[in-house]
Amino acid sequence: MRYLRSFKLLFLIVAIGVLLAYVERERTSEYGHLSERTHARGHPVLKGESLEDVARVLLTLYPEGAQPNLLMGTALAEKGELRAARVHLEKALEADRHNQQLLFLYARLLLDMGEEETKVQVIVDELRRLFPRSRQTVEEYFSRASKGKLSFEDGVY
Amino acid sequence: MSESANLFRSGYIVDRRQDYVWFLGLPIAALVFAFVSGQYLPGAALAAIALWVTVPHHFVTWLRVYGSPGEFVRFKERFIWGPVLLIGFCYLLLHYAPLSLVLIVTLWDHQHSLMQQYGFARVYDFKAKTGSPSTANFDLAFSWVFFVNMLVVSPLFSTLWVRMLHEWHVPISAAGVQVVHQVSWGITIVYGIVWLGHIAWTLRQGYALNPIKYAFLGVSYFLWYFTSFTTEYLLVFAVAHRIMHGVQYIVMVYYYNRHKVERGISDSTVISFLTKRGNVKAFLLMCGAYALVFHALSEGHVRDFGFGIVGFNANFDLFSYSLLSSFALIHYYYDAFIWKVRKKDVQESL
Repeated sequence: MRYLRSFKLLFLIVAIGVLLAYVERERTSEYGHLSERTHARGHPVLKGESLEDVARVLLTLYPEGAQPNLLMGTALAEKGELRAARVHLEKALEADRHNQQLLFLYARLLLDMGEEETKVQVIVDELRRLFPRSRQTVEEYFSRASKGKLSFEDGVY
Repeated sequence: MSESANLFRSGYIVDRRQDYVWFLGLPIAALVFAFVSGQYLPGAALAAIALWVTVPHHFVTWLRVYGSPGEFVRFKERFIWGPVLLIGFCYLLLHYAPLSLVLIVTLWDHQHSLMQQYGFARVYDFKAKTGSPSTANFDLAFSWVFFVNMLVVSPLFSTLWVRMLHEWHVPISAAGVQVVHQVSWGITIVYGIVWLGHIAWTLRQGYALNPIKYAFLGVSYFLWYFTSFTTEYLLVFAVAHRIMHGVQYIVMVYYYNRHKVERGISDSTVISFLTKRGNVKAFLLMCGAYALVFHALSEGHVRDFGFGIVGFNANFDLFSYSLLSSFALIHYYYDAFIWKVRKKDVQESL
């Protein structure tokens, strides 16, 4: 008994984990409000109505905030409202120019809106400089997405 | 002169010079570094801080508990089964319920952070023989109230917890968040007054205070509040916090081990070697070597050394990634019981 008592904290953590996991799986399958994980290191994120709801709440609290504007920009871009999304993403960029997801989404949005390559290139170059680890993936993605119009020289950063 | 000396008695975790550098000066330097990083360094700066500070601060825990037969035997069963259970636990959660793992790691990390500063505050009172018998309880409540308030009301963390609640499908309205903010500020202000009142009461009862402890708490909470209220960039908070938390922990454990050796109560040749005067470089090299090994493990590079036997499974990436969380949890778990300032065997090495 004393032996088992020494693991009390560990058992408590495991019990909390099991309970949370049960709730998480129930809620995820019931509401379908999270997107699937795309790779091993990714996490499920809010999508659709749920994403717009949280963005609306956060925008009321912090209208100039980077995260609220990024979330709203993402939700609107998902719905295809690119002009409205762009306004929010540009506001988010004014508050924080170091967010990988934000820079990526904004570059993608500019491309989808048919903006000049030079404009897109500036943002993609910023992504490459700030996040060297995913540089290759970013280069491949934008090279493909722009149908080869965006080019990346080796050793720039 | 003598009356104020009776009221205020300084005591240090290591000594006057070291404490001024690591426990009072470092948070300010970390703050400056974090803001400069936020301005000029890429996002990868945080990964570098994690690798060179956070990971080695886990290593010094392993060094203390696995490097000394006496320490190991005290909680042997937990040191054997704890890692097995927590590694399996993290892997399964990451696989089947990743949000649950994020929630557990986040909450335990916050609890662990506030408890470290509280623990150092206890050491300050222990070393200076200051404070009343109830000071520990009041300081503990102070740590919880002020740290939780920062998490609840700061724009940086409010954005995170509101988003997390929505991820758990517990939607909260903007008005609801504002009420939570007001309640949290109310509790914090009232408790702040109670805490100050208790300090005044302590003095009136004739107990001395350690001014260094209050300076330490002040500078620590300044770092947390300042970064979480003035920037939306999580990197700034995380860099400042991790430098303060990790480096102070490494310094604490280093001197704890060294005191053990100097006082003749250490039973470990490894620890004796690493803490010997002049061997700091060897100690730092070991910390760096551990960081590199851990990096290889958590990034899945071990696969390249495995002749196709290790890492053949598609879930290996997930397993490697889960090590980041599981090693953090093992560190939080051990710290929850190996550091008790009230315990005589811990006091002997402080």
